[in-house]
Amino acid sequence: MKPTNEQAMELLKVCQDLTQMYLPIYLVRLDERTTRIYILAGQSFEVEILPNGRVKYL
Amino acid sequence: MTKANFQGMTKQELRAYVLKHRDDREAFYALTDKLREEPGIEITSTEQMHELIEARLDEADARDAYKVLEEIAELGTTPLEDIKRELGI
Repeated sequence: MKPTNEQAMELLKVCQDLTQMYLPIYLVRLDERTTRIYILAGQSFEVEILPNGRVKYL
Repeated sequence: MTKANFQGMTKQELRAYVLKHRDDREAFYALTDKLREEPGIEITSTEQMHELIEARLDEADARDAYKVLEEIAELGTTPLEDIKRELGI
């Protein structure tokens, strides 16, 4: 399963922003059931990227 | 081996479990299911994301600092309230 183009672009931006703030990224994974991308950075920063490219900070 | 009870875990425990067992699909799904119970905040700009992260980091710093203060207060004879008054917090 692949991410959508919008999702892939946002993923790059989010990862760039996180590392810009010196946050280590521990996990990046596509949830095959919901097709959302999950990112875990630092101790507890969780970000989800929806298939339409919308970004949710949790 | 018995399967871990993902539903009974806190989000922190589940996160730690997923980081240790990266091939465990069920654990990862349990974690993302848990996240969907929270509303979350939609990010529309890099600046907004920076602000949110800064705020969360400040919160964590404040929590750590408070914990240290409490520990110091327990060690000495000065009550925590006095230390706080002295530091103006």
